[in-house]
Amino acid sequence: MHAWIPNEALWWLGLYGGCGVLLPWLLRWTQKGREGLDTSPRKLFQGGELGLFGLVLAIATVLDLQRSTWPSLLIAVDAVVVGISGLMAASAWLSDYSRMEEGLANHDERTWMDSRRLLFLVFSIAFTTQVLLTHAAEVVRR
Amino acid sequence: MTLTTPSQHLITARIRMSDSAILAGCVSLLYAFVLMVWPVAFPHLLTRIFYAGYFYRTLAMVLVVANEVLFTSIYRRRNQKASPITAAYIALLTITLVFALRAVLTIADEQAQLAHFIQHSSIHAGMTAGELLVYTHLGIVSGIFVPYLIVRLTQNYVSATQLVEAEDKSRHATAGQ
Repeated sequence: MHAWIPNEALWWLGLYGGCGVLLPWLLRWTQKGREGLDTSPRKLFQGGELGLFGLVLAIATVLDLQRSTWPSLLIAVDAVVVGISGLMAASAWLSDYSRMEEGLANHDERTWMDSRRLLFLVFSIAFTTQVLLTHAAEVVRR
Repeated sequence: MTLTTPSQHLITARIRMSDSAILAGCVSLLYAFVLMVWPVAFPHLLTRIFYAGYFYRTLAMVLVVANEVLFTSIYRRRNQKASPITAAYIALLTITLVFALRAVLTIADEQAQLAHFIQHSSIHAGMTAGELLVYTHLGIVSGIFVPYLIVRLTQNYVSATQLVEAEDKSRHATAGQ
């Protein structure tokens, strides 16, 4: 089982997860001393910022796909699926931002839930794509 | 199950884009897990099903059942009325996606055969097991989240059209007075 877990993928996703989610949260956490400052992830990402991070993750996966030795059609189809999921995730942030700009009522709870779920989708597809990038080459070699 | 009286109708709920995200994400991670646990047996099983001719039928059936169960659970959770037209629309979209996957796989297979023929002047079996693995993953994941995305876009379009029609009606009524 060990050989089939792509270490590069774990490092890669860990790096993006660290920079996109953990680092902003830690920065917020360091300001905990301020009165009335809520340091919970829900408060920090209530505007759907996790969705934006999902788009970044999707773009990075597409760039990784471009570097692979897979057939061009397979890369194109995979990039379209990953790209759609990334855009769906970003739309959570975009709709909240548009509402704010137009002065409409915000749905923070809904935006937080949508962005969190869609980030999970992008993360899962990105992780499985990384596993497949390692695995597909192994299957061909056998 | 919610009981309704004639005066108290349930509201037809709107599908949200994130509704199918958890299921699609879990299925994707499960796929990766199965691949890591059975790195040889799983691709062989997929190849066997594919060349036996049951691949698309099995995939369509599994995806339609998964999407309909998800659809029912969404409406039950929100305690709202499930529209049978939407359920049929989701099933139709899922089957259409499986047909699209079939077309893509056929093109990929022919492309692989042609490339092998040009390089070695001999006929090759076509697509590799690795390629089939990737296409199956894409088919399963997009088969869950794309129908819900299209339903959401359709609902947005319908509500926007209804809004424009209502505005037109009120404008005509004002002009008539």
